[in-house]
Amino acid sequence: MNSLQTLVDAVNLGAVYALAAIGVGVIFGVMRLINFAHGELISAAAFTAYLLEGQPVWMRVAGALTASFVMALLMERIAFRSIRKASAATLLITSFALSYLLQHLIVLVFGARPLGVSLLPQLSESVRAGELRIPWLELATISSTALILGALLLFFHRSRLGVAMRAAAEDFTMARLVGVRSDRIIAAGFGISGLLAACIGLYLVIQSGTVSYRMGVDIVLVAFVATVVGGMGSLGGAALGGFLVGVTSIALQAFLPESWRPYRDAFLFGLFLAFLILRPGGLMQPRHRREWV
Amino acid sequence: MMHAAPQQASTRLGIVNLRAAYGSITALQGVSVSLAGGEVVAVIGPNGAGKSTLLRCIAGLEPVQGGGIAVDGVSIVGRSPEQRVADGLSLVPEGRHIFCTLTVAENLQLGTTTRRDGRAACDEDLARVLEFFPILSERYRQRAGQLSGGEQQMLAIGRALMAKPKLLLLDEPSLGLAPLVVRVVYDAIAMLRAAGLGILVVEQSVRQALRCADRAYVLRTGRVVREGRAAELLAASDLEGSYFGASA
Repeated sequence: MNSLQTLVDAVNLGAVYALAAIGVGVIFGVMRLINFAHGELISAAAFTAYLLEGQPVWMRVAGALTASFVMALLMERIAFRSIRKASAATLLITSFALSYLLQHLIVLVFGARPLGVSLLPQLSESVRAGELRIPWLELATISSTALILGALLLFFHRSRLGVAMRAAAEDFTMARLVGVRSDRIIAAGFGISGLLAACIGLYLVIQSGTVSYRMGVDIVLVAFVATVVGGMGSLGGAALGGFLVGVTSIALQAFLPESWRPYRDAFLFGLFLAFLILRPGGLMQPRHRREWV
Repeated sequence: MMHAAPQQASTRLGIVNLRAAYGSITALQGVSVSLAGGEVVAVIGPNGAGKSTLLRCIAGLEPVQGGGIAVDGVSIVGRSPEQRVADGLSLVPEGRHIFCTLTVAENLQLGTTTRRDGRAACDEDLARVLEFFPILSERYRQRAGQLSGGEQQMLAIGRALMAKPKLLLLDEPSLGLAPLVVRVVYDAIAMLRAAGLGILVVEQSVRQALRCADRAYVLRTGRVVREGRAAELLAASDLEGSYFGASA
């Protein structure tokens, strides 16, 4: 029964990391940008839920989704559009700068100490099935991730915009040569990324009951590792990579000897480092991606 | 800014005194080319002559340093590649560049991105393209990456046609294809010309291009060094020796 509990925990964390990795991966797909400021999109949702404390839950959730979505679009328009053609290094450094800038804006307004916030506290309670105890939050996370993944799958395969985004991720220049508008594709990528970041932000608020200016940083680092493990540029790979990192993390926590557990993350990242040495392209590296016509 | 006016009433594509450079290297030094509807014009020349640069400039992938490009008398200089597709230009680039992870159907659907004439018209053109290249019909739901080189070339042309272009730009359409497949591709080009499409073909395979074209321009180090009727150029005994060496 203990291993079943571990399995549920692993699927839960895998689901969260998968959403974070897709959020990072969707931007990389259309723009070759690793957006470290994704963490601040997560914070934007969380702080909005904090600011709207006392309002109905639906309003706080809608507010959080809107805040991250709008902020992602603004981020693209103000910080990244003018340097879209710059080198990957310039894009990366800009995203770091933006991340620090936004973090310190949060500090300026809300301070550096974590703030308590309560959102759907009933989700912290658990369902009992024999010896198994599953928090409602885990059930909600796993089921909503499944729904979001399904919706993304439909979007990318059934909608014109989604198909155009897949085409642009594979060969951006050729996508433009068939008439796909680059502004639209990249803005859509940021919009989706913002919505996914909001889901993570809400999850973190419910799970931890606090908001802080660095709350998105760690998860974005994990998401970045997950997209590399999955194969840069592949959304399926990002989801799989995220899931794998989450599951491995919980497995290490469960099965490492007690005295080794404080070093779990060292084992986790060491494992993926070894994996990348063996398979540098990641799990699902797109074989056909091209930069230029 | 003034740009090229068409040189004759039927001219669909008018390029006048076009200049372009890669950094400090001049790639095009005042190239003028015209193309009418229902006409196939070949641009031939050795490697590095500027043929592909010319197509990239027309498609909007390279900035021009001077001169004009006009479609139906309207300048397209400064327009983005995606706007030029809406203006009626479709490029089939060298190496085909089909979207390998997408299905044949999705590739063809993407070709209609800039169209605003409704689904029924797109479906009609889809039926026409599939009739034109029946193999695409058989492979309709397959991933495009699974197609053979020749099938991919047909898909690339089919995708370009789905945009309902006024002008089709083909960059090395026979490169890397088996002779039999090359014939199929050039048969298709002949049929498209008969349907009234203006086609600009860039080729290193000189004889193949000249046999199919109405007129041709010979490009060398970024200049047009010769132009005329394709049949006359084909008959010119000095053509290969003068411009291409033994490899032509």
